[in-house]
Amino acid sequence: MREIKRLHGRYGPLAGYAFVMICALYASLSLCLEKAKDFPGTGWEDPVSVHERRIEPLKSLLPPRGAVGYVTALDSEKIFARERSLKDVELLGHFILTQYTLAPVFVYNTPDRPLVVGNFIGSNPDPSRIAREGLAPLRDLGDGLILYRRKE
Amino acid sequence: MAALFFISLLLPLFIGFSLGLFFLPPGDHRVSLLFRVFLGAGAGIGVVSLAGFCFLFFPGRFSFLLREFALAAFAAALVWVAWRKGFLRAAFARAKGVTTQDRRRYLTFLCLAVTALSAAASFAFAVYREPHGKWDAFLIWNMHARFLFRSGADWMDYFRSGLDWTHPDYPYMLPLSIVRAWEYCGGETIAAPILIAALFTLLVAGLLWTALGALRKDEQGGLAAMLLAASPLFVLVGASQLADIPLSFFILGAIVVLFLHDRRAKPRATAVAMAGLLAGLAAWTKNEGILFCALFLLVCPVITCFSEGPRRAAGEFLGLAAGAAPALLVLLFFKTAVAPGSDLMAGQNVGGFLDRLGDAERYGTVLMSYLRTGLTFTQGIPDVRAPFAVNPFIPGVILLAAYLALSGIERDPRDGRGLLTGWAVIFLTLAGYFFVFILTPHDLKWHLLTALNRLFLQLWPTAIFLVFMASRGYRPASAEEPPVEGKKRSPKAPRKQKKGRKE
Repeated sequence: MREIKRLHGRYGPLAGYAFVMICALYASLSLCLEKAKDFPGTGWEDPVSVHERRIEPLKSLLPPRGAVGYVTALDSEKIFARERSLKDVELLGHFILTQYTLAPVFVYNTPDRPLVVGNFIGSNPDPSRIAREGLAPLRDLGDGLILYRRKE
Repeated sequence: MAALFFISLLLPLFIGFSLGLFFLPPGDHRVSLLFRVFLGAGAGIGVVSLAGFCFLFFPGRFSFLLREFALAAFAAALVWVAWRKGFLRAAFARAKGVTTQDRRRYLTFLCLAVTALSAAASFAFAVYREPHGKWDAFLIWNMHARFLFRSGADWMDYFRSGLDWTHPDYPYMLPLSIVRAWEYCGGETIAAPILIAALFTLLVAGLLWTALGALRKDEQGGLAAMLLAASPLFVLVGASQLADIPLSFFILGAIVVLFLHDRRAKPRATAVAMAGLLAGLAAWTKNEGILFCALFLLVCPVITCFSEGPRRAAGEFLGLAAGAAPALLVLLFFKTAVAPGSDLMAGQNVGGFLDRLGDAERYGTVLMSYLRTGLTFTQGIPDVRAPFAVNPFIPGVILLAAYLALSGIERDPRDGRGLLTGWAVIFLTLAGYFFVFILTPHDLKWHLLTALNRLFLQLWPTAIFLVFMASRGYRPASAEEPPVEGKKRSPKAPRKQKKGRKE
């Protein structure tokens, strides 16, 4: 026991130093290699920038201040619920990025404003729902992006 | 663009560096110039963001110029007084005197350089893939910055907008720092939040390195910085442009300054005030920082009360409170007069809280999540689809414990209070988070999965610092000053100055 204590006292700190150093080098180089493997190549455009570029034309059609509504393929309350249940973050992501792009205009996740942004990536608007909400297309910007005016 | 960004950092650096000279005078605290730069840059950015918030109430075309002129005058006054008092000369003179020659030291720094370069490359890859940061960056921090920057004089409208899902009640240190950088750059650029994120990631690692260099030895500091820079979550969250890394900077800074204070035979209240300032800035960075600040301001005097009596404890509390006051007053005004209520409190009632508090299953879920996350949080961004797996060779709690077991414990007798305070604050903060999870109105599993690893990360640099402050290292520790108790030397046997050892 005394011998173990003596060896620990003599070599323990050096072993600890070497162990931490080797592990740190291993971990940092592993992470770097992993990230390098994931490198998407030059000319990559990230999804947020892509979405921003898609939403950008709306800015010229909206007032510089104020609020707009929002409609998508799913009912508004279900968008947050699906993210909370870790099922689907796509639709919530689209909504967040619409607000992120259009700030300082406030984007509300309901279609009850005079102007409503319709965001239908990979899906078509449900005509019966659009009619039920009293929305009339004002401008179709393509790629599933439609600006509606709500009928009073 | 990059040049304008770096120009925007000059005033925060001058202000933070000069405040560091006043609160930690070079005659009292033998710390390197680099330590002062790391501590000063972070503290300066925090202080300037406080001014940024106050000047939001002076809208108009000349608001930016007025604010920058006021900050420049403040910085000039601080630098001038520091020059007159001889602090600047003393700080630079001290920096020249610190040299050692040791092969193992070079090996440490070589490995540190490799780790730092590797971490920088990982950071760059992550930023290239997600230049707007991760979810919370564009949902919260960069979104807030956009609302402030684009709204101009109508910035208050955002807080009345009811967009609670964007968390407008969160503190504004980071968004205001981004806005200021945009003002310097002449418009919005995603480079600003990226560079601020990179800067704070560097500052945390640099502060850890230089603080341990001052309080223990350079090799210990280098090794600790390697451990932090090699923690994947630290690099990835840094690159994600979240506020967790800036918060970890202020938490670490407050604890480090407390140790520096305790190393003095006759401590001055100024160091305590600096610790208070950093704790206050933690509260101004993120809501979690409010819990840390409250605990820090309470735990320090309580421990002092037991060790040195109530009179000393009262003085310390006043020093801490005085330092934290500017940030806490701004935060109090922000929370009560500007921001809407927290999403954790919205629509809640006592009955709901009591129901959750009495639900035994929630305790089990949170405890299990604490254990699993505690063992794995540094390994990277969690993936819900991946099975639970621990890699003990990736820097984390297990590796830190293994290092301590191998290295052995050898602490400076003057560090006892700092270690006790540091660990007490960490465990009480974690206990506080535990009950936040128990009481959360959100889905518990979702809340734990999306937040817990980052909460642990906020305390990770401080945990590394505390372990290295207590570990023996592979060479006897050098102290800032000879210990006042415990290790008295015989006057007949003067200590030999080891080659390469710092004075």
